[in-house]
Amino acid sequence: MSIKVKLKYWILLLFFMGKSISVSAQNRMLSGKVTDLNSTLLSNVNISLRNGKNLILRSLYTNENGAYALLITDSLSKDPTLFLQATYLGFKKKQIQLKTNKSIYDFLLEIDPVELSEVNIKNKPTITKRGDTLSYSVNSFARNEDRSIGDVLKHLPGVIVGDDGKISFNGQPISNLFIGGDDLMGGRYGLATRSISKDLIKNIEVLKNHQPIKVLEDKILTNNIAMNLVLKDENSLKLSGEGMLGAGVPSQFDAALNLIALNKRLKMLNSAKTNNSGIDYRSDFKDLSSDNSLISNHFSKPEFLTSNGTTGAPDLPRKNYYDNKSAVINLNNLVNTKKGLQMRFNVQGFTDQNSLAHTSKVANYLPGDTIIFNERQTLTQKTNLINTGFSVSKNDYRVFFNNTLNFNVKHDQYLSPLNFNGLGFNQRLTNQAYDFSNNFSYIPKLKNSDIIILKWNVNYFSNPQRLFIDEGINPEVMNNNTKYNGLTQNVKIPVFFSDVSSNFIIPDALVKQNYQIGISNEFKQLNSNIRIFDTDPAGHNYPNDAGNALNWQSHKFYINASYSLKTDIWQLSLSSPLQLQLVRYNQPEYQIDKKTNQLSVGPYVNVNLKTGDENYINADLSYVNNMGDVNSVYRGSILTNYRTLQNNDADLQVKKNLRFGLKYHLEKSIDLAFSNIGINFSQIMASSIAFTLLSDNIQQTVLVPVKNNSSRLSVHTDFSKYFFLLKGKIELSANYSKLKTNLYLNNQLLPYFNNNLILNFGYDTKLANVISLNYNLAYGYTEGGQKNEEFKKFNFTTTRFDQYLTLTYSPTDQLSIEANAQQIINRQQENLTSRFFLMNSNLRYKLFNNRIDLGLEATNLFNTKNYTTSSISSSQLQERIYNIRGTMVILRVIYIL
Amino acid sequence: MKKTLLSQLLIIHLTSFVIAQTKKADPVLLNVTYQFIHINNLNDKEHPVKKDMVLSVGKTTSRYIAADVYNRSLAPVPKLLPSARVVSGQPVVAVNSGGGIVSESYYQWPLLNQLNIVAILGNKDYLVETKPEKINWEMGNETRKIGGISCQKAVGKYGGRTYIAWFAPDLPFQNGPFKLWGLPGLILEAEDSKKEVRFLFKDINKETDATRKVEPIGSAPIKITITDYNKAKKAYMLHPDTFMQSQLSVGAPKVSKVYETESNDKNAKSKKVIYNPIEL
Repeated sequence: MSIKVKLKYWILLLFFMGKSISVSAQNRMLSGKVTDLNSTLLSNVNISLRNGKNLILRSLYTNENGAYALLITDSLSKDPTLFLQATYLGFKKKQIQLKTNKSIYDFLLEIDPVELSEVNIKNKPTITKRGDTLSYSVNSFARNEDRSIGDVLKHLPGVIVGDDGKISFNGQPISNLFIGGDDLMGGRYGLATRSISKDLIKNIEVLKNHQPIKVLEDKILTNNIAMNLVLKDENSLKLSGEGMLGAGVPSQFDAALNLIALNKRLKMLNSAKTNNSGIDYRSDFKDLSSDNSLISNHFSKPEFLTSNGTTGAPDLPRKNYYDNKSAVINLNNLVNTKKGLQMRFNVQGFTDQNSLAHTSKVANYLPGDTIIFNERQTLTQKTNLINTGFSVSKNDYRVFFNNTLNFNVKHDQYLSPLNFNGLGFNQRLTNQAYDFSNNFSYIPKLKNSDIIILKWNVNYFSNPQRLFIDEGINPEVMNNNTKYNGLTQNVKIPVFFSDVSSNFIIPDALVKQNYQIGISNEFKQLNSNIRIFDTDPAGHNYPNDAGNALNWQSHKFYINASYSLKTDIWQLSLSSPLQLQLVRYNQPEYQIDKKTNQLSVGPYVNVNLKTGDENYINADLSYVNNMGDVNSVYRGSILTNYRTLQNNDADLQVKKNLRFGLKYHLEKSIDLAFSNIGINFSQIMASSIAFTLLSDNIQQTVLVPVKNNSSRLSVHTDFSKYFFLLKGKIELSANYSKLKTNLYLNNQLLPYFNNNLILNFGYDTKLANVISLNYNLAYGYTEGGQKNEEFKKFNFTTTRFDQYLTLTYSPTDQLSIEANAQQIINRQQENLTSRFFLMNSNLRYKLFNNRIDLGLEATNLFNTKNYTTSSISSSQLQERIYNIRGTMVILRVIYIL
Repeated sequence: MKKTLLSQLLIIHLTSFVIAQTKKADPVLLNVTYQFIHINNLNDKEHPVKKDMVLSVGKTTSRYIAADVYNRSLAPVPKLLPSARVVSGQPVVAVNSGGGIVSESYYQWPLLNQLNIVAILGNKDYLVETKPEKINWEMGNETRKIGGISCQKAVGKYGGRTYIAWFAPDLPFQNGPFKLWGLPGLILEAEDSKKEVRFLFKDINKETDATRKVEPIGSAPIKITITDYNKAKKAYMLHPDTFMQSQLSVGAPKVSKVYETESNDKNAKSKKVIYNPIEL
């Protein structure tokens, strides 16, 4: 003990003693110090004064010098059984009996090797580990009004279900939906969430960092979030389901039947549906999975080159314009064998007919001239499709393999009478798609932590297209100025693709490494011809060129190394794919036989820096070097739509894309204030450009070898804050983007620009406990034109105001009423203004203990007939007017089997 | 810009350094499970809030947290980035008849007289550091065995209530459930004199995994002041859905309320709520 400490101890003691004397002569001061066997003073030792029954009467702790001083009253000290006990964790407790005339009691404590040795507490095994899983009990989250598991999903914290059925957790789309641990739907899970009753499911599990392959568990941590529906009874042989019938005016029907059996061995979900009330079944079987780790990313299916027109669908809810008659059969069946093999069979058959009528006006702004295209079209689309999938897999802790075979056929026919610049004619477009693919993957278990993955993907795809027009349009271009009666454009792009690759992953190092090596081969043809019909009913070929009979091969050898590093503040990931691509294509009829080799690197860097508890900066930079496709080399003309003729006169297009993004996120969440500011820049350098010749009725486009750049700069900021006084949230956001591009129009290479500003305001509040209100106002301003100062008069603009209000009233759990209204004011070029107003309302009521569900839905209450919108793209201003569905009222009765 | 960035970084490092120096995360020695019972609606005393809570005790510190959160943490969790916590849609907030449920966990350092609260409001975790006044416990002379461990009675006042606590002198920790502490032994059971707030002993066991520490579970909470916290907590309890909506990104779908238990749900609809907070 040092002299200094000793001194302190004595001063303290004197202080307490003096005090005790001054307060009462009757009281008694006990004091002392506590040390261990090495004479180290122990602080924070509990000193308790106890009586013979071991009851604590007083208690205190030693100070930093290991000293204590305890004042006890005279009446208390008369008890002869009193003792002092020193207790200190890690030491044996010690007791000293009080003596009448002694006031200093020092303790010497011995180390106790077993902590808490004197108390008998059982050691209990920890609760079962369940990986990184959040489990939600369906019972505690389901509400009375919920029917399907999809309804319950909407109430889970952090879960969103999109309009198309896609599920996201904390903003991230789930990789797949599993039912009782099995992937019954093969990623097309929209039907499952809509039709599986909440009563069949016990828990909903959200599996973070989900690794579906057991061999890779604990080896590769994915960022995937998967969802699993845990069955209430996995041995149940019960068949369940629901039936729905609906009818309404004007002549509306809606019917559906689902049959479901889910158990450990067998899972089936089969459904049949039909309606004409604006419900699109495509979302029932859309592939929603985002886990593509076993599928090649080097293959993209060739697109259809011909189309029935130039106008897309309106930006309104599909229900408001989808005038349909549809039916779907969707069969999903899965069997687990005793040997651990799993077999799955999925079939979807869909038939649909829908129509949409619209008029469109396209103004093409050229230097010194404006060319207007007017079109009026009534489009009828008939679709028939069958998707089939068969898969066999084994997934245990020794090996993983999977083989999935898919065969999909689709037949689309579009009938579209059209009036173009006053000329009326009929069009018939037939698009077919045959899609065959087989994906194989194999992952063996290795002794160490390293991983090898082998994959082989094979695809065959073909898309015969045929466009027939029953009028001799543009004879000066199409038939050497000779009048004719009609034409047919045929196109077919069959392609065979194979990709074999292997990954080698070192997951355990400080810097995680993933190396991939692979070979992909693509064999493609492009066959097309235009047939002109005049007096000879057999017709003749397009006189100006020989059509296309193009052969194409592309072979890639690729090596990709990616690294990632993470600390508490920094996060860095880096990858640099290295690729050697050999392309060979020939078109003998144009004396073309070319070989091209390209070695390219595509580096990507992403850095994330935390600058505070809630703030961070994120930056990313990428550079991609892309080689073109058959679309950029075919020489013979293709009529891509009734007024566009397209071909190429350049070597294979090479596009270099440089992209940079920076984002700063600021938040003070306790004040409910959030803000983001970001900037993005992207530049594309292309080796060729589309040379366009525009005349009054036709647009001819040739890809020519002229180097050109285009760039886009965009700035974004948003701010949101909850105001405690208003009891509501206000959101503000602003977006500005600036596009610079070049157009080669009628022999002039001209710089064009598009500037776009969007401002948003939103207010969300609760008026009373049973009424809520949501209001949104958006303002958009777009201008386009030529950058060149002297042509400034060619600037053209559109402005759009869009406001949206929703009111919800739900006085009880059985009843809810919602009304929403949308107003759009669209103005172009200062003078043309159009207004649009849409109001919908719906009511839901449940009865007979929720076995029956009634829904009354009224859409477009004010019977608005059409919707006008306009858009700007480089040199064009397009105004479109769509006919929409009028007032509809439908009553639906759902019965749970 | 550069300067502020640098100073922010510096502050982060300094604060974490200070925390590391003063409030060590001790290894967990014991886990005590309590059943927490709270009559939060005086108009509906038959349906109190019931919840299991776990007190994990280390040499100088303790953590008191909801049992479901504790159980979830037992698995080796590869932590997600904080940015992945931004919820962007159709979420719900849990409520009971008292309004929005604020899930609070308590960290006690009796020797430093420090009590920290980590609270979840909506989808964020917050840290509030407090230095509460010491509870003036009066030793009683009754004893009883709880879970086979001898306990002695003590009576003390905290938060407008008088608590009767049972502490185990053989477990030399000054900690206890909620904000109750400062006895010469671990508090194994406590209830207020009106029996409206109760912490009933359920289970005690020794920690077998030496790597587990008495530290917050989940992502690092955001440090705020007690004034900010009380203001936000009040707003959250009153309008949990609108509050949470404000935390979500622009254009996120509507937040809706879910009752914590079914019985609570039915009663909440039928009876008027007379809210009875733990701290009066």
